Amino acid sequence: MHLGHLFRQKGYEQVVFVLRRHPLIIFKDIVIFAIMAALPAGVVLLLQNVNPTLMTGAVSFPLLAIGGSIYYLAIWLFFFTAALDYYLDLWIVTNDRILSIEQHGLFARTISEVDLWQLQDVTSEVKGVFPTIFNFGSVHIQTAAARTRFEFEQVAAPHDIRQKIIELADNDRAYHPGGIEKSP
Amino acid sequence: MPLWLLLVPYALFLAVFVIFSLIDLWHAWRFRSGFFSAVVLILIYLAGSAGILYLSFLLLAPLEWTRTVSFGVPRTDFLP
Repeated sequence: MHLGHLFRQKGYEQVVFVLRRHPLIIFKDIVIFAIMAALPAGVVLLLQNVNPTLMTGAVSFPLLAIGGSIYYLAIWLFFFTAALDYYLDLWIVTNDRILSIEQHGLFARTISEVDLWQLQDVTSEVKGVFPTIFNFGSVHIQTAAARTRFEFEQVAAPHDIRQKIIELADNDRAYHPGGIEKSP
Repeated sequence: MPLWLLLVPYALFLAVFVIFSLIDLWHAWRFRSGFFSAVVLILIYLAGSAGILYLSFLLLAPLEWTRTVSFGVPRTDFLP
């Protein structure tokens, strides 16, 4: 994975995790897209039974064809945007810091980072039937700064990630002796 | 009215579709996390879009767009 253009890696810095949402999240979007793509077939069958001439009418056929084309192009665009949202959301954990790169729709993108030694509280959460079965959930990261609360959303194995981040933060604090004490 | 007037809103939609597609494709390329994954994603999208547009063309191209049609006139041809 080439990440050089996403963030400037320091000389001593090593990437430990590159996290995305669980693949089940994009699978859900694929299922929704498949259902929406199949819907017009049902509508066409219904129309053929109710009014067979509708599919051959001088005006109705062009209207239906144009409407169908617009419908399929629109759901294809929405599906691609959802897939892109999944693809572009990225959380990078190095031995020095955490980077959160999140795409929100077409026109909003947030990139934030926090040094590991600043972490005060890391919480992992698996909530719901599917998250429990497939072991995915959220990791909340609270820092000493007033504002900062990072969240890794719908990532796989959140408890393992929490444990690893705590270990990395403990290791990083050794290089920042004047830093914040870890909360009890 | 001529039938081709139906193509005006369709053309407007296609213009919006192209603009949004270009923005999405730019995002996919600009913020990619891997060359291969980005290329695959972009190619799938372009292939899907081309497929839908080609099917639309196959359905719409044979129609006689210059003929005049009327809307809102009640049909009576199916009455006994």
